[in-house]
Amino acid sequence: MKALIGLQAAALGLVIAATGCGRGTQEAAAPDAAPQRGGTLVVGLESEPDSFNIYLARTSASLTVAHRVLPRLAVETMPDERHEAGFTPLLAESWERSEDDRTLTFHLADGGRWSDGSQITCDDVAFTLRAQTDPALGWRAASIKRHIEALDCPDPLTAVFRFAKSYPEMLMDANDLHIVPASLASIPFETWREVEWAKTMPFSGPFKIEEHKPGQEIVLARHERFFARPELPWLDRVVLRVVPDQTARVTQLLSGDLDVVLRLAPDDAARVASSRNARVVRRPGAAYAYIGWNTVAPAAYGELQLELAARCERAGKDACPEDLEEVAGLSTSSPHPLFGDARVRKAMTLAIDRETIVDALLLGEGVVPASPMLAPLPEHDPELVPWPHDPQRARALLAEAGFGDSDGDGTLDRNGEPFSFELMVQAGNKLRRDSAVLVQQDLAAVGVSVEIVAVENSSFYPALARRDKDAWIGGWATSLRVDMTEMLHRDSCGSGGMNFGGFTDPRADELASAARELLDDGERIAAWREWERHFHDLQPYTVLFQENRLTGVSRRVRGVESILRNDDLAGVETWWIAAPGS
Amino acid sequence: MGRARTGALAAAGIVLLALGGAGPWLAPSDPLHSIDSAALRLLPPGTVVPALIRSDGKQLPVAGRDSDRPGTLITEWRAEGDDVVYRRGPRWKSVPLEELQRDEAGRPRVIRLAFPLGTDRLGRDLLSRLLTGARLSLGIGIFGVAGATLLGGLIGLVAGLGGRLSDAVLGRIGDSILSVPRIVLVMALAVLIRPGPWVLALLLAVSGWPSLARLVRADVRSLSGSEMVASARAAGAERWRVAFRHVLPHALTTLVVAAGLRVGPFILLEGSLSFLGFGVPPPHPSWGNILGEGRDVLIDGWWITAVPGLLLGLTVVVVNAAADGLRDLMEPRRRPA
Amino acid sequence: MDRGPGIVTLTVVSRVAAGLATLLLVIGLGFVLLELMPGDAAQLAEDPSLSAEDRERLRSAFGLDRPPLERFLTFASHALRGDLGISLSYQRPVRRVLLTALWPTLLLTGSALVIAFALGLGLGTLAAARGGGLVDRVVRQVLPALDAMPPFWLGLLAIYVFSWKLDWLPASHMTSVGEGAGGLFDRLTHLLLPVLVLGIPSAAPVARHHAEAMRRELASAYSHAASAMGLRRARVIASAARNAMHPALTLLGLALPAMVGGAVVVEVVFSWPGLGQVHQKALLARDIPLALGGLLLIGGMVIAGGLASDLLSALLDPRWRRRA
Repeated sequence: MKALIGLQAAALGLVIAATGCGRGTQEAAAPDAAPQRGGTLVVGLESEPDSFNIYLARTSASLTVAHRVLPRLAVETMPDERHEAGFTPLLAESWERSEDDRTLTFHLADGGRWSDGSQITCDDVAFTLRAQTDPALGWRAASIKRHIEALDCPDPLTAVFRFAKSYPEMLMDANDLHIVPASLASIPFETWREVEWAKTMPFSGPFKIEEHKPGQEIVLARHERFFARPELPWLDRVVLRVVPDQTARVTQLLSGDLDVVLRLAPDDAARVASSRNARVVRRPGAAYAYIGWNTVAPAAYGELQLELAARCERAGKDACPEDLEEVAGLSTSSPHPLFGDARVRKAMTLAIDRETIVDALLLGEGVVPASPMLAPLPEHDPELVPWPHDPQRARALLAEAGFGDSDGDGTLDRNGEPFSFELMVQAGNKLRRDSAVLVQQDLAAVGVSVEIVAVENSSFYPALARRDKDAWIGGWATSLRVDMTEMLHRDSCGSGGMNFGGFTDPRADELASAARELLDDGERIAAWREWERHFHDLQPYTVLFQENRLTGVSRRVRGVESILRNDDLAGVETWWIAAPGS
Repeated sequence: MGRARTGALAAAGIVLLALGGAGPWLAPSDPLHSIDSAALRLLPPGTVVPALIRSDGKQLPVAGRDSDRPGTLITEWRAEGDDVVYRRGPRWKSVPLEELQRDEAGRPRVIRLAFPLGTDRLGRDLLSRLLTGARLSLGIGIFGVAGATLLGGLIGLVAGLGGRLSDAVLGRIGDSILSVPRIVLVMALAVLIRPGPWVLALLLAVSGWPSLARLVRADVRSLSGSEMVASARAAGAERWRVAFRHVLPHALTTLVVAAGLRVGPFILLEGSLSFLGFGVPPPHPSWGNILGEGRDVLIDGWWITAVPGLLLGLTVVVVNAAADGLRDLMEPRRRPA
Repeated sequence: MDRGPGIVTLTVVSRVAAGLATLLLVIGLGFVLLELMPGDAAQLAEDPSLSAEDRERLRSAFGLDRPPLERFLTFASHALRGDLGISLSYQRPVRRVLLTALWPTLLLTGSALVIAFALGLGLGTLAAARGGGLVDRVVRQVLPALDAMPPFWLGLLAIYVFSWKLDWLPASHMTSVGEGAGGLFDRLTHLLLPVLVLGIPSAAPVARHHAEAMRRELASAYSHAASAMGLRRARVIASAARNAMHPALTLLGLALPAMVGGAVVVEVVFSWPGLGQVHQKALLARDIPLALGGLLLIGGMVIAGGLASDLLSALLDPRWRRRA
């Protein structure tokens, strides 16, 4: 099936990308006048970008800079109440799929230019793909590209991605690149870490890196040769200022030293909203926090691995492929004594007062989602409502599962074993630790004893991967890609997968596997919605909350849109500063 | 020292010890959990909040804030038909009147909850947390000093009595430990081992022995050269016997005085460590980690920083004064400064 | 004691050698500590979407799969050449990250030392000269009380009062941003609070020590004689101060580790971009090369400072000066 997505010229496309579909809503009080050119926008960052080379970087601050200075083929937009999900052209004017759905051809705009004046061509795109997948460089997201077999350049302005198979997220995976110029090929990948990228990285965004004061600030200045829309950006400069202390950032916003503070805490949001100099731009978050339940007995996974290794040795081989069947079968062959039972998991969800967590920790700036499919993704069924807080029902379910308080000590037990478990949480994440404390309290009220185990951030995922914990609090960020097989499916039960709870269910797995391949939107959405209903009944995770993304913006800044994207400063090239008095 | 002064000091000391020992039992509320995190969040010291009571006994505090008027605390509730509507955190909640405990007139029973020192970010009573945390904050410091004294005394003795080589080696090791600021060293060590209270005390001991060892060694060396020792040796006594009977008692005085002077700084050190995130892990309270939590809410919850900090400081002042007193007592030849 | 130039050189050389030996031990110590840390640096990224192959690739890229001893030897030889590896969280050479952070710490610590000693010596002299009264109380009670307060608490208090409530001084960083940034006045206002918070409490032991030393000097036969000879009191005090200063300078070397340690805390509270803050963040992030480099540099600074003060006090030794 051919899905021809041809759109207008890049310029118009950029308008759409920058300001959303048509005239979106503004949260400014004053009506908008015409944009004024000039001015410096000062943004407060929690930490500085760890590298100006996006393929070496790990922090979101680096991504924020990269989005401003490097071109992309198209811009990904998450849906919200006003906009649909989609891709808006940037460097690529249009793209199309081949008949067999295994090739994606992009047509590049003619006007793309690097800072040194040279044209942006397919060679640059090809080089970028090489950099992304080169093992010496070790880009952490390289596995996204695993289905791309090759990239051909039949002419300088045409890029052809050839895939090993067709699947719904082809466009997303192909597009996920910040293009870097092929001229960088003269620097071997092994030495990329030694280079001072602030000075070396060519750019072609609406902005360029003018200055970098390590530990203090990065100054982005208008790039006069921005190809897509030469009159943008309105701002002369964007200064990214490193202010690690949250309170200091807010104070500086309130006093006018900073114009933008990203990711406000709810406390601060209240203060900013009622202040004279600044206001709050609110958008639903694209991430959620959850409690993951281990459906497999804690020691079982480790033991199985040892047994498999022994078996392999006996067979005289050095390495054997992992037996997915056995691993995926653990939740049936060695279920977790507590959480192997869906009734118990559902009871946990009913016992936890999630609304209070949102009120107490987020001051109401968040929602309790029904499932990992966040609204407003179309795959989420808006009719589905999260389980309420109902300790009565929770106790009933637990009683059904065989728990009672036989010794009257306040803690439930069954066959002499008390209902007590360890909840693992990241030591560095204050919000999640606080959530853990509240969860502990709620569960104690129904007779369940929880011990909170805080693990250092860097050891957290290795600890999870060992699968020997009872439960953990984690988080996921969503994107346009909806693929629950990555975390709640038998395929991801293996050692490289992220199904740390070992959850599988025949019907749910079947639905997810099918949905993964369906190219027709209608069918795919229907499949995922059915999967969602299974999730709702089986509760492999208890989804805790979805935070609102709060940005503090000075009242003198105009043109700020609240589009749901993972890029904090999306559209900053269309923001402008009103002269005082206007 | 004046009589009055000694008396005041002794009283303060006893209060501190009592805090440290009995703190957790004196706490009026649960230091780890709040009755209602949404409602009781960040209440200033001295706040008294009304609470409704459900038929099952659960207390429903009535308190909250509106983002339009962030400074004012709303503690209102009213009847609306068959329900009672009350403020809880950022929103209004309603509960049917029949589910609440009522007085004879049929009106909901209301009790008052008091928070003399206010509450923290999760609505926990600060007073209770401070009382509970006293044990850890004081205990870690005291046991840390004890450990450092033991280690330092032993090593100093060995260095002082042993040969040139052992003295030089121990001296170098001690110097290298001393070269790294104590807090930096313990930070690095604390990252190594999952910090629990005993582990922290051990780490403090490991970082603290060099300076004590140095004092002991100096004492031992000078005493070894003294006439008293020389005559004992001449009389045929063995080295170690000489050490224990003649050298040790004198060195012990130095050690005890020095140890006393270190209790205050060690208590501060634990505080700093917990503040920086390397000490006692939350949610178990220690004065240091309460201060660490307070830092993030400094503007909205200044009392979480002010009160524990003051308490910590005063404790150290008292402890230092006591140590000074001890020193005056044990080394009367020093002219009081 | 006859301190000819030859003996002085010998002292200097032996002290330097001792310092280097200590430095090497510090390197060893630091390496052992950090090597044993839990958590793999490459898993620092909280992103669970890393596949097992990606993680292996990162691990070998960072050289985390070779045996510890080999790593230490490589590290030590590189360290002595100034190459401290690549910081995992900054993706830049550790050397560069540390050097950028070095100056702010030196500025902060140096200024605080100056304040501590100026204040300490000044107050100590006054206290001894006046013999009781307000200054004496300050030295004996107020300053030690300040020293007993948690340093981070004083910092937070200072920020709350002087920055938020009164809006006199900035709350963090070395400079402001935008117009007027970087000027001398801007830098001074940013420096003021951290330096005072670090320096004033540290004046306490100096003041006490110096007051005692001064009292001993003034009570000594020499001073009495000078007084009797009709020298003005001020001159007597001045000369006593000069003599008493020598023990105070030895205090400098001892005070240095404490001062640097205090600087770490103050840097964190004030977001001061110095070594202390860099080191703390590196530890929390398990960025082994950077944390180790930071430990090394901090230890080295203290050793160097101690050496400098040793030499200074040897030079200013009154016995030696009188000879020369």
